[in-house]
Amino acid sequence: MPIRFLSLPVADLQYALECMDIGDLIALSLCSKRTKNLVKSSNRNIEPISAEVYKNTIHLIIKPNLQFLLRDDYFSIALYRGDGIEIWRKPGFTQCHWIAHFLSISRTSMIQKLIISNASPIPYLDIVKKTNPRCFTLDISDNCSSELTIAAVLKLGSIARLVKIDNDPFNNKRHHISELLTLNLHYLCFNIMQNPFKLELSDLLMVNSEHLTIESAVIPEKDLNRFLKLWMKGNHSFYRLKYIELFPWEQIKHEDVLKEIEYQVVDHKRRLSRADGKELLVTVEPDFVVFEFSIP
Amino acid sequence: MSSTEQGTSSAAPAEPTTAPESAAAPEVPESFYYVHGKDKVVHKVSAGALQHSALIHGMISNLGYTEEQAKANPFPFENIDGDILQMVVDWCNQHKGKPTPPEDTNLPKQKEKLFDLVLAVNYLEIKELLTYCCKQVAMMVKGKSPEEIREIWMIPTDAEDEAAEKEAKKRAGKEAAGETAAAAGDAK
Repeated sequence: MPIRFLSLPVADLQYALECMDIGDLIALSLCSKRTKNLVKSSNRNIEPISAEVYKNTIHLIIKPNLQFLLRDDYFSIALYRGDGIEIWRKPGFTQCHWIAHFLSISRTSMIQKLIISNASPIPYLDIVKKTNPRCFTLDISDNCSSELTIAAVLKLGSIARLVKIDNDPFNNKRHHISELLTLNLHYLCFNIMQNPFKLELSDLLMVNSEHLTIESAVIPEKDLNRFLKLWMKGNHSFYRLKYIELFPWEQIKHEDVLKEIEYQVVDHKRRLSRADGKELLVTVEPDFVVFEFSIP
Repeated sequence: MSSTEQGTSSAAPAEPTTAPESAAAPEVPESFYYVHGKDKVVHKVSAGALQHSALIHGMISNLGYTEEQAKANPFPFENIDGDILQMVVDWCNQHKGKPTPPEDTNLPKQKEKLFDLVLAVNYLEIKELLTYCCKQVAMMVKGKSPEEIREIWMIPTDAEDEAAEKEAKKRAGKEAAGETAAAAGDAK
């Protein structure tokens, strides 16, 4: 027996919304513009969505047991709610509309995480870029090929705040780290845990991201020392770089990194000052090295 | 006018019955009040049961009725259907003097009456019953698709909403024009 839900007193309506599952709330939001606004204005928090690109499809993940598969036919979406697959249809809704709807009801403008898995075809990344407005983290899985990894960063890096790469795409002769370090990104993170990630002085000198983090970095102390000396002389300009964070594969000796360099100790950090007034805060511990660039 | 005593109808407000609840029960006699809905059937309810309703409890506190006055002046709830009021009274009697558990299987389950029940319970300010009813409303659409929810909760489509909005604007415009014409007529 139907009831006129929207005619309920506001407080009751809100309480009913509070009692609903997130999946049911999303279904309600798709009934009409009015119900969408009702869900948006409710006290319920719909978690920001993550998206995973797998083969030629995009999965939207709200929770592990609540996932949607975007289909590019008949304006529909497949839903996995733990008990089989359902198909929801919304005439006129394209993949962009679906994503915009999910972002809108979770009151956010960004996909939390866009995951690229190894089965994603490179040409499909163009469709992914058209469909997804912005994401906080672009997460490139550890089992992606070098080609897919580099293509994903080149095509999708500009829509992400953080580009996180879980594999080493340069462990071959086909690609060089400069392909990614020279990109104008906000935050680039190489998150390789199982293998050493080789770096040289020339690599650090070409960094064009604002933030760079490298796990398992293998770089000689003398290269880090040379990097600091070049910076002190002002021979090399970094236009965007603000922060470098390295987690070395083997322990670092701070006396070698800071050899023949003048500095002041401020709050357990070494402050290097240049004639032009620019400063660099250096933290060197056996397990990590941090360079913080500051402009007075 | 007819009345019911804890769910039993009779021709006139019934005399209060003293329930043999406990042999060692205290001597203070329980006071009773009378309510009726749209169907004018009078229900006799104890003050203890009526404690659940913030609205009626407030009315009782303010009026300070004697037993006779209460019998002669049943609280009228003309906006509540008789069967809905009966459900509410039954629930209040069942939960007299005790809090409602989060999942109460004794509560009314008539889904076809749920909407009216929510409105009545909201009006009578019976918080625990309202909470349960809202949960029941939410459960109606558990696991349903948008199309099914639209049907169950009678949600208009965007086109229907737009048409209703246009119609409302048109009506408001006509009313405004009518008022202006009337004001002009008065001025003459």
